Formats: sequence, C-alpha cells, structure tokens
Amino acid sequence: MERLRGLKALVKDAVDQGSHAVERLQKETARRPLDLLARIPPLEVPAKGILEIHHMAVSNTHAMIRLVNRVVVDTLDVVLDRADKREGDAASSRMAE
Amino acid sequence: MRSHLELLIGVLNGALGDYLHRTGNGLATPMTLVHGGKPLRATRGALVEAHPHATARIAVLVHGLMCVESVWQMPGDETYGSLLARDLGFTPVFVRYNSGLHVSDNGEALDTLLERLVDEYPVPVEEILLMGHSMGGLVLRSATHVASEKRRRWLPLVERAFYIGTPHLGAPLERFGNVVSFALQKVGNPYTALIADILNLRSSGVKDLRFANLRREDWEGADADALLQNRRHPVPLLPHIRHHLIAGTLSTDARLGLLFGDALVAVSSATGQAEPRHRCSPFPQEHVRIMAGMDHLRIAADPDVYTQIRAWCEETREWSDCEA
Repeated sequence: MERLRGLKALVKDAVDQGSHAVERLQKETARRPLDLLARIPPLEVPAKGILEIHHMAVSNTHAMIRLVNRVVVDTLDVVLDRADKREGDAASSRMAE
Repeated sequence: MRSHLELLIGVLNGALGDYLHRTGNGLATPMTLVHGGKPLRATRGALVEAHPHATARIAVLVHGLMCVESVWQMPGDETYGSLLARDLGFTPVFVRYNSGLHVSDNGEALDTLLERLVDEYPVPVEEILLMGHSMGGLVLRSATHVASEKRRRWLPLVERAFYIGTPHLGAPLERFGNVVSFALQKVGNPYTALIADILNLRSSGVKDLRFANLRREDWEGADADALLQNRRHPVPLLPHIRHHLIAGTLSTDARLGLLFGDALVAVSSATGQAEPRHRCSPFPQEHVRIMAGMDHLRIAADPDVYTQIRAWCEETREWSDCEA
C-alpha cells in the first residue's frame, strides 16, 4: 500500500512539474517573436495584447490540467484509505479469531 | 513477478532515488539486509531464523546502481554468496539500498548496518568479506572510510574486499551526460534548456559516478551540474584489507577492451590505475583480473569470475596459514 501511495505521489509530481515546465516553455516560445513585433511602434500595443491573451490561455489550460490532477489524486487517496481500513479490519478480525 | 517489481523499483531508485527519499515517497528503498528476496531486520531473532546455521565468516554483497540483489543471480539460482557458503563456509548477507542517494550517504548507512549486524549476529564474527558490484564497490569504500574514522568494531574483521566492475575513477557515461546537459543549458533555447533540466533530474547517486565521489565533502556545497568539476578528497586504502579488483571488457581484443571497457566502466577505472589528476589512491595491481568478453552485468554473475574470487580467497588463506 505504501508503494502504491508512492507511485501515486510520483505520478502526481510528474504531471504537476511537467505541466509547469511546459507552461514556461510555451510562454517563452510565444514571447520571443511577439517581443520582436512589439519593437515596431504601430504593432507594439496589439503584440503586447496578443502576448497577454496567449499567456492567459496557456496559464488557464495548465491550471486546469493541475486541478484535474489534484482531483484524481484526492480521489485515489480516498480509495487507498478505504482499502487500508478494510485491510486493517480484516487483520484485526483474524487476530481476534 | 515480485522480483521484476523489485528490479523496477531498484531502477526507479537509481534514477530518482534522492527525490523519492527527499519527498518521503513510499517507493524509496531504505538500506536493508535481504534474505530470500524479502527485507531482513538486523536483529538476533530475525538473523537466527534466516541463517539457522550461521558461520563466523560473513560475506557482504552490495549491488550496484539501478539494481537489486538479483544482479548476483547465476543460472541455477547460485550466487557468488551461495558458492562462497558452499566452498569456503561463508554466510552470505545481501544488502539492498537506494542507489540514487549519494554514495557517501549509503556508505554511512552501510557502516551503521554492519555495526548492528556484528552486534546482533548469532555467533561471534571472525571474518568479514566485502563484495561490491559497480557502485556497490564505491559504497563499500565509503563505508570502510566512515568506519575507520569512527573506529567501528566491524572494520578490523574485514580481511578482503572485492570490487567487481567498480568505477574507482568515475564513469565516462556520466561525464558525457554532464557535458551534454551543460552544453544544452548554455544554448539559450527554451527547448534545449528543458531537455537539460530533464537530464539534470538524474539522481545524486548517478552524478557521484562522474568522478567516483566517496565522501560527503566531495559534493557538499558544490553545484552538482557544474562542468566536469572533480572535488574528490583523499580516501586512503586501508592497509589491513586485501583489495581485489575485477574488470570486464566487451571485446576479447585487448585494444577494443581498453577503449570500451565493460560498456559502462573503463578498464583503467575498474582496475584503479589512478593518476594524480584523478585525486584517488592508486590500487595495488597484484590482485587485478580483467575478464575478457564480459559486459558490466555479466561480471556480477559468472562462474569464471567466481573461480577467480575463490582462488584469491584460498590464496589468502594459504598466506594466512603461513603467517600463523
């Protein structure tokens, strides 16, 4: 059971940190060309606006991924707790017998 | 099935073991004795139950990076430990540990474990034989160093140490990984930086193999991802221990063997031919054997290697008899 919990924690960390890394990467990749465009005076305002919208969309997408990840992990926690309890009850009834 | 799972967890520990340990993850393997594939507590009762015919001579076998004790298993379920028991009356004791931790951390843990083993062992221990495969050899050297500083009781009982495919001067593959991740980081592109970050997730144990760090001072306070920085501190060879080194080579051709070693460890590293730049004590070369045509894993479980180990043990026994 401890190892199952460990595996669950590892997958959660991998999704969480992977999502943060990809979010950083996507923002950085979008920032470079839009920063260049923003140097042209008539395009400065729209380029900055597009960058803001892009960053917001990326942040929201990854926040959603991490939220779903947390919900799945919390659900698994409940399932594992119940399994743990059932195992404990079975062990104590065996002891009683 | 169970042994495959244990092996998988061993690989995971080797790759990310320090992270698992730091986050209190249940997959992190604590250092423990193992008997019949299961953890064995170092208490008198558990030891008596596991070894009802325990002898006064103990052989301690320590596996390498990303492995578990099954690495010692030969066809027919024999191991160097079981053969030493049959032929020379040793009681084999297998150690399992988190190979992703620093070698020095595992060395300290092994020192504590062996002191406890000697305390709790059912009969008075007269002799300890140490055997390490790959990183296991470095863990043994680190443990003996810690024990010599703490004046442990188990240390004077050690007469022989066998290092099988142990990278005493470091492993070229890890140095290559260090150069690649450093270069990718320096490119300044977010994609290459991400790849470098992923490469740098490899465990402290793997990074210790770059220059074969043995002591805490070798890594403490340093940037683990700095480019090829050898910060080793001296670890003298203990004079009362006979050090035996076994190296493998992929090819039977001597020149190719020198070039590729056993695929993971170079011959010069496995045979401890240190120069001043390695910041490592050179090993005496009278007990060195190069096994041609054997890769890194095969030398941990090969009848010819055992024949050599046994011959060395008997040679030493004859020497001891003469001394007596």
